[in-house]
Amino acid sequence: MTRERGVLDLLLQTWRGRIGLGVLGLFLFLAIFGSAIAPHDPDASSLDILGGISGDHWLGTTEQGSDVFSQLLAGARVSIVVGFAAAAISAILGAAVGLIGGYFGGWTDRVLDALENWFLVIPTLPLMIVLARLLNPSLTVLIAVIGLTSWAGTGRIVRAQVLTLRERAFVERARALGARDSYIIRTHILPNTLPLIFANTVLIVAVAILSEAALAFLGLGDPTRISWGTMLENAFSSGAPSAGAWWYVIPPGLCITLLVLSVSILGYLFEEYVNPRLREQV
Amino acid sequence: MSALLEIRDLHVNHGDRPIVDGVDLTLEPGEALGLAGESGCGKTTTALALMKLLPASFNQSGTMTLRPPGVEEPINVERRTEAGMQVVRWRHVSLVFQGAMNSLDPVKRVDHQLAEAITLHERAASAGDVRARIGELLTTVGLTPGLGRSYPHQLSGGQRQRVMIALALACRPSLVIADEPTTALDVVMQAQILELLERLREQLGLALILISHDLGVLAETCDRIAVMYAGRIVETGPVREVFDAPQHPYTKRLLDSLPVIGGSRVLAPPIPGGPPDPSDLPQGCRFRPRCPYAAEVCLQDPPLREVRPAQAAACHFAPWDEWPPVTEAAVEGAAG
Amino acid sequence: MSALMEARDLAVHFRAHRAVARAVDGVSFEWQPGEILGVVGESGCGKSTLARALLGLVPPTTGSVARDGAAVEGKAALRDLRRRVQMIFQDPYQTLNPRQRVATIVAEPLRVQGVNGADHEARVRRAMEDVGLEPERFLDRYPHQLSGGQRQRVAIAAALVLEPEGLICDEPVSMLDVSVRAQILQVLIELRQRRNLALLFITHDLSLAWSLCDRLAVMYLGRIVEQGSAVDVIEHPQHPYTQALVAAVPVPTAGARIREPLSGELPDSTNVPSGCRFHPRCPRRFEPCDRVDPPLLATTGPGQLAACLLHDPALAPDAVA
Repeated sequence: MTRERGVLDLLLQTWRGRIGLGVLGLFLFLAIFGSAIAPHDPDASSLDILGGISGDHWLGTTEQGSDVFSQLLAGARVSIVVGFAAAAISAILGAAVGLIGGYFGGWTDRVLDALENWFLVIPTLPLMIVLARLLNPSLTVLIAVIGLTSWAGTGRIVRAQVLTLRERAFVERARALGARDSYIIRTHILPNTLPLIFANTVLIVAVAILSEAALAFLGLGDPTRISWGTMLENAFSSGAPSAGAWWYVIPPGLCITLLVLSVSILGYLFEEYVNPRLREQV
Repeated sequence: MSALLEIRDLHVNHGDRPIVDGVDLTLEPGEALGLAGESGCGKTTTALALMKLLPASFNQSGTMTLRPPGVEEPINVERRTEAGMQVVRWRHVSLVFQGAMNSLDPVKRVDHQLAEAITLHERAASAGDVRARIGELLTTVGLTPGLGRSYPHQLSGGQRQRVMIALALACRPSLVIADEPTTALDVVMQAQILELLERLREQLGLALILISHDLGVLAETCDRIAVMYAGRIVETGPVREVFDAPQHPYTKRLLDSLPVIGGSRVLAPPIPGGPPDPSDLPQGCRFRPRCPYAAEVCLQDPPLREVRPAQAAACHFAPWDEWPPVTEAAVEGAAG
Repeated sequence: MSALMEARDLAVHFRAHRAVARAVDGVSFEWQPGEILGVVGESGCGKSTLARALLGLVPPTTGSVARDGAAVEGKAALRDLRRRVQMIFQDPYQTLNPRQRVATIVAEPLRVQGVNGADHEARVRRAMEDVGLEPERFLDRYPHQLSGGQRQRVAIAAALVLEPEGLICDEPVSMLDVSVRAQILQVLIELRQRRNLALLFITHDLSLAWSLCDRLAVMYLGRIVEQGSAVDVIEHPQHPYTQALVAAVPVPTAGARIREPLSGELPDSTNVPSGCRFHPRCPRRFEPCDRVDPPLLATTGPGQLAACLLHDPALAPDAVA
């Protein structure tokens, strides 16, 4: 149970860490440099409808005659931006609610806890659908909707941690010194919950990526941007699977799976790091 | 009369760290042996090794022979398989742990837990017999039989520790190992539990190994005491002799650093430093870096040898007829 | 000379489910400058709550806390009190923030109390040396790189850095091994000698209290039942409860002991018995004990008080021990 083993070791020395990091790194690279690599304009249509794999179109073309590979690269950017931005919102909301509720207790905690339970209990996907429907779909709206609906788990975990931290002697010691609440939260509570928040947030990145894909697949994505979810939606609505155009269906699906998988692997690794008891059972 | 338990040359390693390093112990039937020492000295590991309850990451070697009364063949514990050990545990030797709350199943009533312990080893027992035994056990440990219908959380700390003792007695073992049985309890409760252990020894002819860091507890309960330091026994002998005339500097200074009501209120200088790390043991005598009397010869391992009748110490200078006063407290090494 | 701190009929009650737990239930005492005052009792007797109430960590239900003869009221007074009286806690593994280095931990009181930053380093070093830790070796370490005794030393150093007049110690050595315990006690004794630091020493260990303290207060169910000089209280206890406590102490001088341990257990503080709160367990109770709640009464010992009707000349049967 050596905690000495740093998080870097865990990432670089284990196969899971290397694979997770490698795949995520690849997608990050594609998201950043995708537009430079892309052989075609992803939006440009052509007469080559649902064309197969060729030297010009590495992954064939869509029902509009656009280049699937170039769309895939554009989609990587949307997935990663939505995933990380939504997770960041969720982390900030969850941490704030968990810290404040857990630390101050009483009525504040009861109200925040009830809110948290409400968000935990209602099925998030339908809620996201309703919210996205009500608002004009755009990237910002998507990020906000996903972020707003996925913070409750973080809040719950942070609150539990704060409740135990609050009783620790070093917090009581600080209070006995006359330290203000804001000081105690800043220097004692938050630093001891950060690893937990971080590990949990990485897992939420995966959830956010999946949610974006799901919403886009249901036609609730940002209509001005191509994401893997919209690609799948277009593929299915144009009958690409029955037309045997597998190059249009499998690549976006596979990308979603790989990205979500890599992020999840990293998330679980961080979780093990934060909670060494989990590591022993592995 | 042959010994109830004989441990010879017990070694326990955790990786390359020796936790127990050549321990010999003998226990007569009905005897109470105190195992003293500070945390990390190997006293609990010794007990767990005897029960073969150490996790797989520990390696143990040495012989452990158990001769329970009424059993023809001596039991060679070290050769027993896990299945064979299950018969030995509870049937012949049982354990009482420190944290009574953690060792009791929180969702089962006390009488169910006792019944389980009884029927595990006596499958033939009839329901009526079991019920009678439970009542008898609870009375033996000073609880009213009605308490059997409670759940562990409904009991106080002292009552839970009594239930733990009742569980340990369920199969009428000949040896009970109690690991810090009173550490979590207050003085009054502690006195009650010690009183109970003493009474049980008299009534049931039970042999007892009592593990504690509290020398006072051992002094009042045990016939004999073994003081452990860094994986070895450094001194052993009858309680009275060891406490009245300790023969190892560690025992001596440990006793001196304890206030005794009615004795001197001015405490002797504390032992400097802390116990050594098992992966970085000092050469020769393991107490040498903290010992005010250490000399050249202490670089050689001192054997545990009889220095006074029935009293053995692992110190080159033993027997000590007189202890030179300790002036210099600071010895090599940092504050503990 | 006025007392360093004073409790005036202090009570702390907690609401527990539907009942009220009377953790501290009318306690008065004085803690003199430079004095080692021991508070002893079983767990649940209210001694830890009392310590926290003295520093305003739990609000008193009634009564008050005074310093230098003046009641501590308002935020400014409380802040000033917390600068001059510090506290150390039982568990050395919980008492330090695992993510801070020793240097940060020891300097924290200076930051919190807004002491001029230029002095910090020198004061931190001095506090470290006072507790026997070399600053060079330890200031950069994290708590998990320290042993239990070293952690407790760091906690004491952090308490000393503001150069307080008093230190409240809540079971500071009960989780440490015997040899380490002696080292920590020596540190505390030296601090008292060198700095005239007053200690309020909360413990369940009567032998320790006897050897360390000047004066002693014995608590039972939220009340002080006996107080006096430490030697008198332990060697000639006047309250039946103190007598039972002393009798229960295991002694490391071998030999058969004859004792009758107190039966039963400490009642719940939500359910305090009528009259003398010790009467249901008392081996010497007599007629009005279940009705009359005894105040602290003078006994045969000089300055030694016991809350027991045996010391009430009007009520006690002749058999006063």
